[in-house]
Amino acid sequence: MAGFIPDEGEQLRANVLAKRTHVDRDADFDLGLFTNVAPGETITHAALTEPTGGGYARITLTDASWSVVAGVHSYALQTFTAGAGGYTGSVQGYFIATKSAGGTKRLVYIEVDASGPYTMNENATYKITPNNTET
Amino acid sequence: MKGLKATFLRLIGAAPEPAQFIYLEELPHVGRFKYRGKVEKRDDPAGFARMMAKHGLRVIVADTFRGLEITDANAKVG
Repeated sequence: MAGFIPDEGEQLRANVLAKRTHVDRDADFDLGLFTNVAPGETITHAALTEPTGGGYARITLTDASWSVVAGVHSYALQTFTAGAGGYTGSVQGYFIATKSAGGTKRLVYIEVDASGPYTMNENATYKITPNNTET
Repeated sequence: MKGLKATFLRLIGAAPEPAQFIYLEELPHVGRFKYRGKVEKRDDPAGFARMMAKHGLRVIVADTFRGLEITDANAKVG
């Protein structure tokens, strides 16, 4: 299922393109998993809830590693693997957010996994191939 | 005279809202809904339903927990 750009991501785009303001868009993105049951278009980075425990950590997506062909932004497959004890919280999908060391982290993109939610027990894996198409 | 010391305990704040549970259709218009979880404060069921509708998927918000998986094509959709 396709994801969507929340209001916060749209605002970020406007600031970067129209105002050339990059304070909230430092180098690279974060790829993470979320446990929010019902994220709507008003979801923000601050409102995200993520799994805990089991060695959960966001994955860095480096800017230079994106492939862009005919409006399609692609990134190599990324894998989350639950460590000892597994993740706490059911995974509802994934998100991409800015890292923004100097500003405010912003939610750029979020996708609800229609097949979820998933319980990530120890050694369970969740694989994502980020792929954004401009429509 | 020894006084009577009374302690009053009072709960302050609004009464908790009844729990709601959210389900998402598995595939567009198949009428098979999968349980997502209990609606929490930071969730946005109405916005969620609007976003999912763009992908042809329907959302059900129920006042009762209906099991891990339900099949209900005629259920009220959000």
